[in-house]
Amino acid sequence: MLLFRSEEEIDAWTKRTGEPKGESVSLERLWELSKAWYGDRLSPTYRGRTNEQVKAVFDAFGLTSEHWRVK
Amino acid sequence: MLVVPWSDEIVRGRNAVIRHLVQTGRMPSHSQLAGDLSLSEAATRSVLRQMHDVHAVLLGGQDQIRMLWPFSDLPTPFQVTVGDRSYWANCAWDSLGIPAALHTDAVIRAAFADSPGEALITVKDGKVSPGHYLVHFPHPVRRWYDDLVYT
Repeated sequence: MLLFRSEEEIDAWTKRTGEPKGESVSLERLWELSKAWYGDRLSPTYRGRTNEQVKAVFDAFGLTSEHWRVK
Repeated sequence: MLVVPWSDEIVRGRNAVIRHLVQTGRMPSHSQLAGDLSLSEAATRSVLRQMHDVHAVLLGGQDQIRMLWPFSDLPTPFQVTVGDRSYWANCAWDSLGIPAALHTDAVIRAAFADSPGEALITVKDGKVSPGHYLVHFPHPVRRWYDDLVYT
């Protein structure tokens, strides 16, 4: 996942590289998601995350489109 | 896609990697990890391969640990500084993942993908600034594990 200044930059990058256009998330929103996604990642009791748990995290942040479907 | 919950052996191995990583900013060598786990290097490699198979780590050439999300063992365009220690993140998202995982403030230097220069991003007191830059996720989640380095 790469960093861009704007949607226009993403469009130019996908056109130039031929990479697919996916979805973009602002740093502000992604930081909140990161706290949920990575906040327990270094816990000694962390044992991975089920597909259902992954979906629950994405759902909580409104990431519910086909792009964010787990399987 | 995901195999959970991880076995006790995998969790123990992963926790040993994390301890070394957080303290040093680097992944442990096989001999360092073997010492921490009180295992032979051959047995340590076996644990590492089990960890790789369930995506607890990503191994590179000669079974060296390349990623333990959100951390990278190799330098990347995403450098995260926490106090007097620096870490490499695997991608723009993971650069936020490091302070989230460590529950700490951080300064992130991240290259833009399609324009010169780099962003100086701060995480302080639970907020990120600037917040308007964008991280692009080119592939749908169900394809993330097809090629983790590319993703």
